[in-house]
Amino acid sequence: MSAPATRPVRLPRTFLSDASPVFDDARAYDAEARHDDNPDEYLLALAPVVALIDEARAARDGSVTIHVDQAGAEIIAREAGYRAEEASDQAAEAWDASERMPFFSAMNSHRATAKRARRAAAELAAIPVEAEWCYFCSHDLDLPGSDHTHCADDTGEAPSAADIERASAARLANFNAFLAAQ
Amino acid sequence: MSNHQHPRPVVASVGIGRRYNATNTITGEAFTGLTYKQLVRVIKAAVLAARSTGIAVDEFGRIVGAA
Repeated sequence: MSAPATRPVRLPRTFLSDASPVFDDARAYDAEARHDDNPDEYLLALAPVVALIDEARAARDGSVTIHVDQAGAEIIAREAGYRAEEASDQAAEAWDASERMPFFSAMNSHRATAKRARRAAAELAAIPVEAEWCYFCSHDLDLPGSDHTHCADDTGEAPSAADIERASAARLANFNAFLAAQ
Repeated sequence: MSNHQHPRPVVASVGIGRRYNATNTITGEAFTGLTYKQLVRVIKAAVLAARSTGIAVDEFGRIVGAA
């Protein structure tokens, strides 16, 4: 059997929590070793994760490169999309809160939160993987029977590849405008 | 990859989807298509072998120097 085609994906440090399958595997195996009362393997179960984190810490930009096949790349792209959106929303909410509560301590706290969230969103948005999900509903475009007519905005039409590209570019432009306005 | 120094693992691994390729960084022995459980077993064996030859390895499978 030939080896699956893989490509390198550079992940920022903020991504190194649970997006990679290695984290799921490590958690599952660690739990299994504990269940089996196999103390020799408690910590070794985390060794591959620790190696990734060490590499990210040592990198100048706090990132780490992992090699994934197409399925792995899609998992990461989807997760990055969700997280970037969440971080962006969190930044916007925190900034709004700072405007509503202009007491210095609360304002500074919310603005610090907004700053952290913006940085995380910018890092995640920069992950160089190809997205193959609908930018309107975030579901896979090629799932059997998937219908994205409900995802379209004002037109009621299913998004074409060009629509998706435009939506992606618009979202990025909005996000960049938001960053520039801060 | 970074050129910065970081702790060297006894076994360097690369995740390919849910399978792992691994290399013993001391002996150069390579493994492909491992499950996570098999990867941990490979790490465990490599740690024991390294320690038996006087190489100090921490609890996370990182080389921390000669014993």
